[in-house]
Amino acid sequence: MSANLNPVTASKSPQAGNEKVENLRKLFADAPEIGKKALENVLHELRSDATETPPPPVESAGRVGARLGKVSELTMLIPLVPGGAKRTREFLGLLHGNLKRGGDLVGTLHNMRFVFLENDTKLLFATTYDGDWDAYIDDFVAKIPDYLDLIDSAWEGWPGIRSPGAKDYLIKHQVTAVGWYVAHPDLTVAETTRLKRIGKAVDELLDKIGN
Amino acid sequence: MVPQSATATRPTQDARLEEKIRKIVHDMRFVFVDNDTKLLFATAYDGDFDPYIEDFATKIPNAMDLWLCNCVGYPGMRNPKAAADWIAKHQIAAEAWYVNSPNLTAAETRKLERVGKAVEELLDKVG
Repeated sequence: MSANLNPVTASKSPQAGNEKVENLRKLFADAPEIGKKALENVLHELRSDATETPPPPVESAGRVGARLGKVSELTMLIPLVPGGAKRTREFLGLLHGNLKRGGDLVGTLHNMRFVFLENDTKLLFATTYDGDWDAYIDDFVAKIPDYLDLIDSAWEGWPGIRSPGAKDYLIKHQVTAVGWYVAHPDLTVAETTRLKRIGKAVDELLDKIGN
Repeated sequence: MVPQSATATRPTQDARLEEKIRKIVHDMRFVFVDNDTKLLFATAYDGDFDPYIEDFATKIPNAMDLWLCNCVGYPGMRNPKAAADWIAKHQIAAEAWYVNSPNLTAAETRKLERVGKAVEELLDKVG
């Protein structure tokens, strides 16, 4: 399900890589002009990449979702019950759209968004997090179950975060990304926090030396 | 001293592409929805919408065109004003948004990585 930012270079052998480039060319023969031109512009790069050692491919985040290095994506599209969008919007409005309190508690969360789709009949829930899917969901359940149920009680068919069926529901509505990019795939939230402290300490040290 | 990042040694298109976009974007995902009839494109980036789209247009126009050319009505990154309008038209603002380190841009994170590495080397020498 998962793919590299540039899937063509994720091939195992140069032959397979070249074959993929040729297949892409054939497919793009029917593409809009913009796509054909773009492919022409980068074709030499794609061909040379196909014969070189490819970068690490995007992997699975566990049961579902894509992961690059230590950082994973969760993307869910969820049907809402009647009145669900109104309640959710009111709750999120109370927080002024800022999920800092709950988000910080999870500890493995880089970012998170809620977006209403299709005239408020669906909710997009997308996050960037550290590590494996199961551990991440367990974190959510352990740390902010009530905040979650405030939001997910608007989801059609939701069994409740404390229900044994909760994970099956989440998997059913999650869609794995076909392309996933992270600027700092080796940096977890915890490591970023540590680096911020180091940066501050270095600044203080340099200030002292400067005096 | 030339700081080395994890990706800086990869001599591939991905590395070149990453070098260009990692200064702008924290993360980016492409997800097919509704039986492959729609594409979800979601990113976390630094600062304002317009300079961000301009960066896409000036730094990675070919990649953007390859990714988005199959979307209905996409005008192409060679037409940056129309592309920005098209993206704005199809973008939906989040109702709620969380970022763990809201004061850290992608560039600042990169700098912190270098600082962290330099401190480790310093401590090794002192050690």
